Amino acid sequence: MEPVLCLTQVFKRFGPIEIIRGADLKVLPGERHALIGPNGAGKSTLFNLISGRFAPTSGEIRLGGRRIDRMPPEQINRLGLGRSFQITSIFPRLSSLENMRIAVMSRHGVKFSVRRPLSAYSAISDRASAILDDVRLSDKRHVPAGELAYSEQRALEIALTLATDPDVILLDEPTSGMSRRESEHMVELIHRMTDGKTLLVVEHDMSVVFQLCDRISVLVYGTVIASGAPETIREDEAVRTAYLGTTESHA
Amino acid sequence: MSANQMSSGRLSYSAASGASWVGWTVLVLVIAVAVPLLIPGRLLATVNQMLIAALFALSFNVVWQQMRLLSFGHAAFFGLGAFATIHLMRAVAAEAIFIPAPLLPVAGMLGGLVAGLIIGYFATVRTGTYFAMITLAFSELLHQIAPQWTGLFGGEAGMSSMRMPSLGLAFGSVEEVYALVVLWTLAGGLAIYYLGTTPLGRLAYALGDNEMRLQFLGYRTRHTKTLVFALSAMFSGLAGGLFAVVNENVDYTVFRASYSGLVVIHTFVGGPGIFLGPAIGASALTFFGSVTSDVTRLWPLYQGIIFIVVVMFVPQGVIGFVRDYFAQALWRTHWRQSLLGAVGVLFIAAAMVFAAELLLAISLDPLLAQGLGDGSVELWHRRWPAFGITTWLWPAAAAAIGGALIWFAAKVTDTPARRQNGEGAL
Repeated sequence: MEPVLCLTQVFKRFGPIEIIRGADLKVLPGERHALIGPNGAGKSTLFNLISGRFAPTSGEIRLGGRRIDRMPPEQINRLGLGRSFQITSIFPRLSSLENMRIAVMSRHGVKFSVRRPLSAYSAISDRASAILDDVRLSDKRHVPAGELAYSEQRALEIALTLATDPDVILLDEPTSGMSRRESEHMVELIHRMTDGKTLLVVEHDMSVVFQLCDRISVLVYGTVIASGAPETIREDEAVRTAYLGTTESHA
Repeated sequence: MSANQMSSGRLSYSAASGASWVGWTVLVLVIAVAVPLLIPGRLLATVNQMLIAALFALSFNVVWQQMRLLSFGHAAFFGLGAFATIHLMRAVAAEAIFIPAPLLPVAGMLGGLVAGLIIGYFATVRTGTYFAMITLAFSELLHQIAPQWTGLFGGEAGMSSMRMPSLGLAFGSVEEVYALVVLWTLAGGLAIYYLGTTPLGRLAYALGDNEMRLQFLGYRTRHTKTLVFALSAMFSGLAGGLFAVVNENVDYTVFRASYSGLVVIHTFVGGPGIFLGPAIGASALTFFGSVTSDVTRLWPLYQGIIFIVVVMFVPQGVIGFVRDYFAQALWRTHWRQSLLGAVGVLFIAAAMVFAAELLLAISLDPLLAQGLGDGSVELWHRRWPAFGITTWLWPAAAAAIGGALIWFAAKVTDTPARRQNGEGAL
């Protein structure tokens, strides 16, 4: 099967510091792929390269066969890639519903229109409400997003990511800062909302990784040192040395 | 409480019920008709200036409130709108073209829009301080070019024209001009409000909150910025067009940087987080500037002090403060402290005005400067010993009393219980 997202020998340098050093990654259509690695391995940087926030210093990134490594984020999004942020990135002054309307409206062909109030486009409002229903924020539809509880803001973050109906979804630590219960909620929500989509997740919580994903890639010092099924990764010698630590295996 | 509330101003545009819409429309129209009947003609000319300043501030605030971009060059659009309109008026007066007088300000809108598209295209390359610098640079460019370019801007003297009679109206009296100005201001204000509810307007709010997120949702944010900036410039151009119609003369000083600064002051004193805040701030400051012009030369100083005090102590603006005050029903629980505080502010203001006026009188007195005379100076039809202790005791005492009142009001307000509830003083 052709990979839907393919990174080939990607390098990223910030001044003298090389963060990503020849990363290779293949994500197949429909798979739920976790990207794990120790702190500072470059996971967030890799996400920023894929989603267009930074351009790689060298190397190739392809989305569905098209090169995207020189494209701005909005163009990559329009090709069907959506991402969430580790630090919640929403529109705090707007209500939850308006957050969703903004995310949804461009897919309804509405952008710079001044012909009617945004709230008068019923198709957009319906779609926005439906997604809010899905993430269980309907009760908070008129609350400014900045005044939502943290876990609600995280749910809105995911909802914004999914609102443009992307085929490939990048989630950057979706459960960061959450309690165990909230985090289980979030995993359930992601499962439900991303059915049939391709998922690439950065996550520190290994229980979340094992619940959510069917393949894992391990990033260490800017290089993917292993890719495979969770069981394979658990047994991989290089991963154990670099990431899980060697103490256990030698004990 | 202040900083938080300034940024999180409620922005839900829930559809107002039909009845309240009708009620408000009727109220506004009644006021608009009553004003010229109730006040003398000289003041009506001031009302025209107030309306123009209000529309200008509303248009400026589109860029700040929605997109969080601070333009320091909006005088460029006001000025270009004014010059576009005066050129059209000259063409009408020369009978080269016929446009009914009420439609003349449309030229200002077009001038503002075109200039806004061009300047906005360049300014939106950057954000924050650099955005402000680019807008300032463009308006200063016009300020330098205009006095040299006689053909377009009339040189130092500027350009003049006459309002021509049309539609059976002479447009000679201040009442007729007022009718034109008030209708355009209301229409412009409504259009600016409406803009904020449209997809483009909501996009602009979202952009002001989080530009990066919009990009990752597939939006080319620079288009939004340029478009909304240009629409803001269009309404500034309309205000400039009204200015040209009212004054029948425009010169290059409309491009001065202090005029761009004035609209910033108007907006922030009124309150940029509330739709009508800038309009009320602009009207009030224009009103005071006008009525005090006979009494004092120091109005710009007082305006500057008001600006500083508001930005430091009530960053949500005067109207924002009033809204918060009533929204939290503080008058019910804290009316004594409020009264004390208000009286304290009046005392300090009186002390400041007295001291400033006295200093000005001293610096201007021809005899004092040469060490002649009896060392006294005239102020408010009285002679004061310029350097006498008794003279300066007045402002010092008033300031001390005012300070004590404010301190006391804050002290009794800021009880431990309130502190625990996370509430601030007053």
